[in-house]
Amino acid sequence: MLTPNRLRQLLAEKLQATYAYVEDESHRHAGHGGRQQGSGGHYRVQVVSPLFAGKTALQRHRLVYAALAEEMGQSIHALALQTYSPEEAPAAGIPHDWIA
Amino acid sequence: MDENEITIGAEFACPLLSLNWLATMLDPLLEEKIRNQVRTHKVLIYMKGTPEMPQCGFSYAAVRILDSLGFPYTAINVLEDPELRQGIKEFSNWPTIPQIYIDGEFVGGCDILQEMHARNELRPLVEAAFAKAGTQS
Repeated sequence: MLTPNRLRQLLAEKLQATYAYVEDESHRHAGHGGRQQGSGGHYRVQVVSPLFAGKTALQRHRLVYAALAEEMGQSIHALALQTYSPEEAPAAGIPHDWIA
Repeated sequence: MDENEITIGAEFACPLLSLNWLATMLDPLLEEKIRNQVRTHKVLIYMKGTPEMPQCGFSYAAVRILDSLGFPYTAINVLEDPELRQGIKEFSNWPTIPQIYIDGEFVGGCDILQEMHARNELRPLVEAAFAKAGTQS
């Protein structure tokens, strides 16, 4: 099982994420192809990475999906994503001095 | 690393690479079918279930946003077509459903649609698509 902390570590390693809030929402989706059926959990993720600067949301999400490629469709069934560059993080209410 | 290791590595790497490549190759007929779908609809959503009965919270959220715009859109239920369900992920190079296309361009999934809607960027995009002649609704 993919823990929120493991997910956070992956984002820190592969995307240089300085902040990653991960919430396991699998319990809200029980019974429709979630972890119980063996196709992974549902996660809500807010991630701050310097790699996102100057990129569109589409490009950012692709970066996250690429970083988690081995988990997508395996231990991750669904991912709700919010992506911020370090400059955007404070306006989104994210503590910018946090380290993942 | 000595010479032997390089040779062995190369022998094993080649068949693995080609297998991997075959596994992710999109069937040309399916690719053409998808290309045709995204080209002939101004606003198109690949979703789980139907707008009337979405089978996933993300698909539900996406169609509610499209509904709120007041423009017609076409929904394709990938749960009715397992090949399309896999094929659209490869076509868009995007691992999740729903997927939204506007004017033939891939926009993203539910989160991006919500972001764009919150920034008032979605409606202008859809309006521009319908202002253009050429494709069908």
